[in-house]
Amino acid sequence: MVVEKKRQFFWKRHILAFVITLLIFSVGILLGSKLSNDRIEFTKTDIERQQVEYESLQLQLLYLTGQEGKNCEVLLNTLERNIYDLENSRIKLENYIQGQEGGDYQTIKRDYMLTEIRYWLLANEAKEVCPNDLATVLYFYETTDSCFDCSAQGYILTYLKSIFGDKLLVFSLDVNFNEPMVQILKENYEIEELPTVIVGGKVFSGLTKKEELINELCLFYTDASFDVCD
Amino acid sequence: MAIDLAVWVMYFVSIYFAVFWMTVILDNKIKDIPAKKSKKAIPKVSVTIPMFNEENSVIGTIESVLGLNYPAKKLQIILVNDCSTDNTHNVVQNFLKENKTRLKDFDIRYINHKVNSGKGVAMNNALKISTGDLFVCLDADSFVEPDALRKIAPYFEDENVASVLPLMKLKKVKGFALNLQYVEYLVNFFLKKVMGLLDCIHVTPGPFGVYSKKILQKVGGFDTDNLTEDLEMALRLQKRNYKIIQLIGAKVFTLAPEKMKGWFNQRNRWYKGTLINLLNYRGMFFNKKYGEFGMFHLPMVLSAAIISIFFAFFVMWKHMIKPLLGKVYDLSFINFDVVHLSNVWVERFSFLDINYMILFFTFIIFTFGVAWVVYAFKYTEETFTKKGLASTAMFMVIYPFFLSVVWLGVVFDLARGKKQKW
Repeated sequence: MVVEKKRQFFWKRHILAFVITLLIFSVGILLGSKLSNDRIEFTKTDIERQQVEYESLQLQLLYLTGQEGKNCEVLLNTLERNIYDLENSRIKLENYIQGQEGGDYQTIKRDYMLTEIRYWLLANEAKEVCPNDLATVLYFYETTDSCFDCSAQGYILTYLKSIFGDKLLVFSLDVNFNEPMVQILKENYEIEELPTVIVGGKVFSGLTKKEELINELCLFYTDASFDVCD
Repeated sequence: MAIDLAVWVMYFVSIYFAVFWMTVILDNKIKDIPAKKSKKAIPKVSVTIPMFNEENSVIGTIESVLGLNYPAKKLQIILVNDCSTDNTHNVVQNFLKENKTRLKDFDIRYINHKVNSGKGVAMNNALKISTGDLFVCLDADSFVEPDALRKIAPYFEDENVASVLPLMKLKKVKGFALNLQYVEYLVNFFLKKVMGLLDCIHVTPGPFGVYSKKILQKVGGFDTDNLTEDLEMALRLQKRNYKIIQLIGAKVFTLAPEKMKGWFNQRNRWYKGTLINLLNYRGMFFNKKYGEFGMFHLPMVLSAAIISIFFAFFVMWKHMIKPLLGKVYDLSFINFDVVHLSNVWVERFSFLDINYMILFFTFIIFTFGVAWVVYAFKYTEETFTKKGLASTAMFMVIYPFFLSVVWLGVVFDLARGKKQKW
């Protein structure tokens, strides 16, 4: 006959397992928060450096104004390099932000947006002081899911960057970002559709294929010889 | 946001399950504890072989029973042909005729169903005419090792023992699907052994599952309308607080589907049956009366299913398939010229781009997986060959996805044909 004996529940073992799981989890969470801190620290330091670089460039420009294109080389080189760095940092930042909604990142991102605009203005001024064949591209995007093609456009611009290198200056602006300056630019260029790419003064609305952009960019590079421009 | 939380809960629960069973592994001797033997330890055994279109394997199955290291006088063999549409009937009849002298000591019965009535009915009909104290089911695609019954029988001295199960291994390992199943069987049966240490076995598989006939009759025989009658039986036995013992020293070899599709279909049926039976036995969930089995094991089996489905829907879709499709779409605009892009990527890369938190959790779960496989090989006395290593690596990568797809199929089937079987 079956003896109705009480079946065991090993609650001590469950407590032990729970504690171990909690420990493992804590390590994971700690790593996560360290990662998040490191990233914020990194981006903060980076944007500060960018701002100092900007001031340096501004001074250079001020000094060179009226010198009729003399000693422009240093300015242009610094400008190219810094804009390249800035854009890379921005892309990094966008990746880090994914899935994070911290206030820290919002402030940092705002700094990046503003710095992008500063550099863009500076690049335009530099064009008058030091004539050059740099092409400036303004890229309006948003990070929400509603812009299906934004990431494809990003790939296309990265690709163009890999072709034209320093000769192509890309400035990216998140229009969803609550920053008045971005809104002013958005209204000024009458942006209605995303993504929008502006090459020089010409507006390309919606996803713009690389061939179309290459054609437009090649108009700037009269001196430099790029295979794709032939 | 809610989904993020769910993913975290999923991670936590998965790691908890793994940790819990790992403590059981580290805390116990996994080897079989020998049964107390008394003098009368050779009970009469009825081995039932239910057959449905098994003309290719059934003779081997019968031969393996004849080859058991067990007195012929103590063995009854019941062959049930469940209205096979192939040549099974003739193959078996010819075999019986040709080997008449050899078989004269055995009590062999043959039941021929006029209509196909399912494995449950076949088993119950065999149960009615069986004369043994023990009742064994041996699927006609499985082959028992000579020593198995000798090792199993003594455990039934304990009147609370309802069923004793051998270790199941694959008869042949050839090709992709079988190599994956080879590892799957090793790991699953090793885990079953471990779970059995806490009386947490929820399925008594068809290949040489040995039952106490008295108990089998008392609980009313097999369910005749069930996708997985072996799982239902185990749940019923557990509900009545009988003992089920898993051995790793006694072995049975079985044929498994050789193609991925066959493997998928078999698991689809198993898991559908699991889900339906679990729902039918939901009263045992979180029920103190059933100890570890009710409080933890059954909820775990169901949670594992839910995690698998969740993994399929959200993790696989949201974090793997959708981004991948997105990438393909994005890259199509630059004619997939990744070489150019990679230069830029390399330049942009920094250590901080690696999400080492996710990496850590992946590593932890992976480590548990590896540990299980290593233990499984060790305790089932399987040697680690180069091929086994390759199979294991493939298994670890593919199996979670495979399971998810199977569970998706189950959910899909149940949602589509809710009326058919509940």
